[in-house]
Amino acid sequence: MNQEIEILLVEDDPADVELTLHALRKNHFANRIQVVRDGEEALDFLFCRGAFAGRSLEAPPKLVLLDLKLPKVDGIEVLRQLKADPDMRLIPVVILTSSREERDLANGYRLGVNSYIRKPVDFDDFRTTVQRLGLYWLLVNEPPLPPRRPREVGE
Amino acid sequence: MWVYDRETLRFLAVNAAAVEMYGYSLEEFLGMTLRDIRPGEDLPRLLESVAANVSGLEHSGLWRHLTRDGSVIDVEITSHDLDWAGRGARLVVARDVTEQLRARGELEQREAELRELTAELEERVARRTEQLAATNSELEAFTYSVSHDLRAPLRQLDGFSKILAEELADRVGEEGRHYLRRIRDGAAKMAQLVDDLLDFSRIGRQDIRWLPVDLGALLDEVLETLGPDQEGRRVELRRGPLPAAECDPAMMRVVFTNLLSNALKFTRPRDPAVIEVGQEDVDGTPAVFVRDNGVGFDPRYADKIFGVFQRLHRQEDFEGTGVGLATVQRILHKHGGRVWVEARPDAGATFYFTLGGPAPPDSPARSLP
Repeated sequence: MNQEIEILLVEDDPADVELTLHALRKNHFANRIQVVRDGEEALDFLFCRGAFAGRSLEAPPKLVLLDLKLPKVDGIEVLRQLKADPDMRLIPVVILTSSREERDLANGYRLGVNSYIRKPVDFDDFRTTVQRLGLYWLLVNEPPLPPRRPREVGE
Repeated sequence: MWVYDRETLRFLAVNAAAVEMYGYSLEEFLGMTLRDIRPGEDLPRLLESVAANVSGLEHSGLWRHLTRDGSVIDVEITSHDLDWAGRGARLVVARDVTEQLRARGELEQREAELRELTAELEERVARRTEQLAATNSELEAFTYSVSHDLRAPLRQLDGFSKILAEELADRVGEEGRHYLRRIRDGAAKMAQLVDDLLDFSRIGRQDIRWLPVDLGALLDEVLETLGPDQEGRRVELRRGPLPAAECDPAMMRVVFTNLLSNALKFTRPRDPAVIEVGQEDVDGTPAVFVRDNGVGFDPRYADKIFGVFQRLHRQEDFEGTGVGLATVQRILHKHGGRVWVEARPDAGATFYFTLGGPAPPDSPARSLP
């Protein structure tokens, strides 16, 4: 990876992936986004194992955009495992979901999610929401320090 | 009543009542002994009892006696020692309790049957309640799925149409952009419909939280949220006093919101729009009314207006999914009340509703899920 992954997008619907990337492209975040299509892949990426065993634990993404209904391992379970790990729980996680069900909202916050956003159906609203999310978490928000300080590798 | 010889058990004297009760004549009686008026199997008990007879008054209890025609009667016996012309005798008073016992037996049987029936009914109710609970949770799962799964494709319809219109504007042209707008409108309408249907379905499944509510205060809250609908227009709101009532405040908020936003919607062509809310006596029952001077509708369709998806106006004239009033009706029926409407074309409409009240604690209505 020559460029750091700043956003991990966990989304199984390919059309929603396309719309989300389209929205993020405007702020030039697009080439710093990794897309994974299910909960298992998301965990592999973050914990640097399986297909992503080559990744470094010292370079976590600055933001995880997490859908809830995912194949294999669902969003709430991904959230639970992340927030249970003393290092992983530092990474900001934003649930980005179609669901308006109260139990998802309750469970999400109970597990320590940083933010819960319902995907608007109206595309203009959706686009604005996603762009704002990107700007806020990547530019306005101060990310946590990575678990191990990165050595000077001349970035 | 009779007297018998304690040694021989022979009848020494009987009264007219005994003659009538047993069917033997006086002469016949005087030729009989106590044994003759007992069913065979009771004889040992008789002889025991006679031998054990205490001197003095004794209530020896319930016995079965045989009458002349062979029927068995139940008698209650009280007896006393007697000296009868120098012989040891006993005076007996026999009370026929056959009917009493029979009636009591029948009563006990009826009570047992009733208890069994009640137990059976309670079991059936318990099973039905279980079934309904299961159906309810299936419905919840279904609704959850709908709420989640229908929204994504709608967003995609809207999104890609917009992207197409924006990025390929010249290639698509004015006409193309028009069609794309239609596609987006369709998606938006469906999204609204999904939301309305989910609300309608959810309210149907909810239990009422009965609380004392100041309807006037609730009305004011709702009117405030509808501020934006009144912007740039002259809207006259006339408000009469509204009572306090036992009801579910969240559901009643939905009722007011629906009725008032309808009133605001259908008075859009009016300047000023006049909306009146208050309480009126209708056939002796107090009812809350919401009256507007809007476009009204043909009263022939007054009943249809509460049907799901029923609309009486064109989409392009007045937007709407046709679910709002169906939801209002559902809520009021849940409260044991009614809702109805009076209207005339181009002369506004008045919606009336009444609230029932919470059912008394042990009535059947309480135990329905």
